[in-house]
Amino acid sequence: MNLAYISGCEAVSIAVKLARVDVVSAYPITPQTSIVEGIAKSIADGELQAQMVHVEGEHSAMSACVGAACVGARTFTATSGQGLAFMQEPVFWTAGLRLPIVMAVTNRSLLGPNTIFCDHQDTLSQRDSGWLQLYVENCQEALDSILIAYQLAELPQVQLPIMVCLDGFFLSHIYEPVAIPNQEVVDAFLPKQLAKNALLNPKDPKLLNVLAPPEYYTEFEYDKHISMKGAENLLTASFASFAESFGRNYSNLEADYLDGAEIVLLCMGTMAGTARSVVKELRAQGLPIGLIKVKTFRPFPVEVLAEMLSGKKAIGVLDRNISFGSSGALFQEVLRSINMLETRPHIIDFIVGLGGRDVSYYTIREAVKLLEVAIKEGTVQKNLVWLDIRLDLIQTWGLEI
Amino acid sequence: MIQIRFHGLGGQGVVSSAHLMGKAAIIGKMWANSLPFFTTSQRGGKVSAYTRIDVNPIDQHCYIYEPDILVLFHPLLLQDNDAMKGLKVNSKLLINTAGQRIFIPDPFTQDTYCLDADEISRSVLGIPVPSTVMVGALLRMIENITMDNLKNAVEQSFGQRQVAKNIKAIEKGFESCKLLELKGERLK
Repeated sequence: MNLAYISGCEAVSIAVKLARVDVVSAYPITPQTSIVEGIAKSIADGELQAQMVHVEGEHSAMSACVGAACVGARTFTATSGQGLAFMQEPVFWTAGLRLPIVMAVTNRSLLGPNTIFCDHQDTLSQRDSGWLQLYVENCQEALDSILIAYQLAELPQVQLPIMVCLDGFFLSHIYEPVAIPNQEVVDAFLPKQLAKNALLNPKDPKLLNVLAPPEYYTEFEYDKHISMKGAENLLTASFASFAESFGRNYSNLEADYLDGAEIVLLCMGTMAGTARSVVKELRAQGLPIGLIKVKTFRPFPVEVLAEMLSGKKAIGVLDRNISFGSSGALFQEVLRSINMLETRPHIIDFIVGLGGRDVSYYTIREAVKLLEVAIKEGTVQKNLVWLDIRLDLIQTWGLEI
Repeated sequence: MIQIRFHGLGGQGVVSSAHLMGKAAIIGKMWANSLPFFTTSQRGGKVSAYTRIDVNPIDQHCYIYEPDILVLFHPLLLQDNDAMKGLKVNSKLLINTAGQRIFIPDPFTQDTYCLDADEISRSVLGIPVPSTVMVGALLRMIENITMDNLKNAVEQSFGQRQVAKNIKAIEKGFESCKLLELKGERLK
């Protein structure tokens, strides 16, 4: 197979071209910028017949996408960090309007202090927006996930927007070999399905976004919830049809070395690759350890995860985010699955990789070490551990650890 | 797996070098990934980049802590703790130096290769951007990538007017790269 050596951003912009998107509206922000540059080039070169709507900020970008999607255009945008925060108001509208917009988010911290680097704080701040969230590990998965996202979002049973989340710099700027799918195969995989509910047409006038009084509002939210939950199985079907067309397999929860594992690590994004290489090495040394990559964070596959975690002794959740005063967001989800189990495994939440700090081989080894201690001692001393924290700074600032 | 770590200054083509090596590896039917590390630095600020090359697909997306090959685009980086971190006994070192007195840190048993890549790039490309010269030199230290792979990578990466010049830069870099005979001592 012919492999192109491209960055995560390029992979996304190629996916947008292959998906034959009609309207793109975005505002540049590091590290997302080259996604939009790539799309603009495709349009300028005549490879993509789409309209690029230039706007003065992310709020307008999403608003333009809402307008386009309301007349049945396949619509794309991309943003990152503060851009997503600025966009938040129409982000919620989009899900409420049931518009199948796909957005790539290059994960970046929410400020401050000022930073341009990666963690999952930005997309997780939109956890409850009604958007599906897929976290990807490598450039190939970034490309493939955009295609899968359009197929799924436009299904009449789903009709919800989807965020494809890729780690800023660690994925947006890494170069990797990527298989570029054939256009005809993509066309067959991705026929355009127009949104039914929110389709504006002057010949058939209708009113969108009317006031929903308390007598109606709950049911709209329930409907969104049911569609979102139902999307879990539909995603599995989409992954299967993708595998049939393109030969690459994905799933909501991607397990490695889970058979016979006593220790299980859970994580999202690029660190899954690094974690897999550590798990592989430790398995070869005889340590019964496995890995679950959470690809689909919304809807969260809580029952499937519970099944996977059944009978395990110690669970380590690597959270590239922190809900201040509580714990990492993935940890809270995993606890729901743990609550379904008869025997409760030890579980530790590891806060890692904030603001671009690398989640390295050593980070993951340290997490595994603490999980081994938990099994040996039969108890967990601390269930929230900040790994790789700089003790010199903590001491200088007079903080306790 | 071969892990290469590049250190240099913004504007020297450090990141381009990392990507070129990765691309050459892919052309040579190997697997690779390459990742830049920018701070908020602009031209002249510290830049590093990483390239992994392997016969199997690569999972890791993190930085490189124990490089097999360390590439320094400026001799002053020999005194930079971040740049020199994680060297192993069998790591190899490539330094762009105009022959200034450089001090190789002790203990130091590594093979050290040197060339004046700034001068070569000035004469071949007309500008002191030594990225293609440095990747040419790197070929001396890596067995699995051929000169043809690298030339192909340049053809695919550069605009038409730049290709011939940069291929010459690669050849010059390869020819000029010398293994230092003295180790762990002050060198001229």
